[in-house]
Amino acid sequence: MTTGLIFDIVLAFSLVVLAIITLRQRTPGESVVQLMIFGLLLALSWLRVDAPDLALTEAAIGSGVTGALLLAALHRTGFGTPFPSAVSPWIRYPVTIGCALLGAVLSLVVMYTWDQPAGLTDPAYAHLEESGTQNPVTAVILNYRGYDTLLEIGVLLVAALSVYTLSGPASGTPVKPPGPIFRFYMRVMTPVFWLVVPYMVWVGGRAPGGAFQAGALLSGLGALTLLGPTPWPLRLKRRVVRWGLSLGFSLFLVTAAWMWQYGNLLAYPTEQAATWILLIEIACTLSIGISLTVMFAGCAGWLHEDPERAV
Amino acid sequence: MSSGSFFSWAALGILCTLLLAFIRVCRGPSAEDRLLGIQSFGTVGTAVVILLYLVEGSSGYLDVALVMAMLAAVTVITFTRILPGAGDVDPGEAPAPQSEPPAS
Amino acid sequence: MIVFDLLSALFICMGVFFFFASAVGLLRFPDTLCRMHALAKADNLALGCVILGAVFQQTDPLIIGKLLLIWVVTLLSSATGGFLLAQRIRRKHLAQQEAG
Repeated sequence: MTTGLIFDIVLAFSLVVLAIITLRQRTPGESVVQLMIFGLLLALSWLRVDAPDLALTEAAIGSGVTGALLLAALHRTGFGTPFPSAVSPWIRYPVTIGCALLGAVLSLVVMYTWDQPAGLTDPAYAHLEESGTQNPVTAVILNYRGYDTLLEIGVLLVAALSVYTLSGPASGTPVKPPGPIFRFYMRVMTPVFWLVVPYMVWVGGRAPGGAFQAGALLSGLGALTLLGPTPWPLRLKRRVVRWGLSLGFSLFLVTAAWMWQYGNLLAYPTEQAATWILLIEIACTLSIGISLTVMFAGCAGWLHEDPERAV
Repeated sequence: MSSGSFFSWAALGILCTLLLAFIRVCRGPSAEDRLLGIQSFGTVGTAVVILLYLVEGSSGYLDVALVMAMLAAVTVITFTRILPGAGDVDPGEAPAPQSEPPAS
Repeated sequence: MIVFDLLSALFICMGVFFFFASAVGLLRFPDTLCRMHALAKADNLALGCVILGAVFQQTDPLIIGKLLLIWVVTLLSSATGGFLLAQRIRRKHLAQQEAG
């Protein structure tokens, strides 16, 4: 029994226990905190199964931005208020048993198919030179399965629009001006963010990275900026925000329409594939960053009519 | 003991540190204790990722560690600056006015 | 080189020890502000030791630069987060003292 196996067993066991504990809390605040920890352990698990792209996305979105989003959504009720009502046991127990059965079935499937040849890995690697990128994950996301990514960006756009629609008048707690320590932190970290985000987009062509991870990082910067008043030139105008929201989806649709002349939607001609992928990645990064920041502002109650934080 | 195995043992030790910190997150009587746990998880998680990189990693693992380090403070800063509590007001000031939540 | 391997092992062992110490402190200290001590000091020192141990294993200067960048960013984030959290705890204590 190697040490790696012990590590994996401890990790897997703590994941299951943590999931059970997260679901049994009495207050949303505790559940949110434990969900963030779950995201972090999940990122470690992705690293252990050799999926650094997934780990990157999980670390950025799951334990970073989503945690801040959910915490911001608690701003009205506070951290320690219990859940409003209990679900009846007639629903709770069947759902629990159903989910446990589903988990068991999935585990059995994974165990029984573990030794079989990996399904589409060989064709994916075989066509890698024609796909326009050297990272097989990016090739799958933006070339082989471009439709999925197109619809995902569309879903994100719809989610951001829903947050706009559902958020009422500004109800966030007025936040006092940031002290010198937070201002220093923002002064140093903002350029770091702006350097790492394009790096993440660029490195996604060769190594783990890409639009989703860079977009999540960008939304982390957006959330931090919203948390402390920034000077006017950095505050985005509404028009810029709304253009940025739709940029990714629109560019994707335009690309699909443009490719129609070559026969199929979203089938890039081989010599242009790299350029199109890069353009789409840049647009999607901006869109994802702005969408998640808008969702953060909506959860914090800062959308609509709050002049300090107009988004 | 080969180097990979040594780093694995170190990673296992730090994973146990994570689980101990989790007890504080569960038990901590106040919200700030749980946020202490989250802050600790950010730092400890970065260390585990770096050790996993030393065990058998590509350069992507370091990017994961960098992202975790950069986003470690977002949660705590959100909690401190948004959530209501006795800590929002300077002791000399009047409490900040809370707008009515919209009728749902 | 054997010296670098030994230094690596030494620093990583120190890192694991300090992480364990910070976890014990997080669990056993009586007060929230005391637990902040364990977090702000021992955790960051431990991460610094682990990163130093990792640096001694690398030869590529870019990787070393990335490791040191991770350390600097973590120091900043820990300091800011820890300060804001401690400020909030202190004000909560003050408000409780004024009320009770």
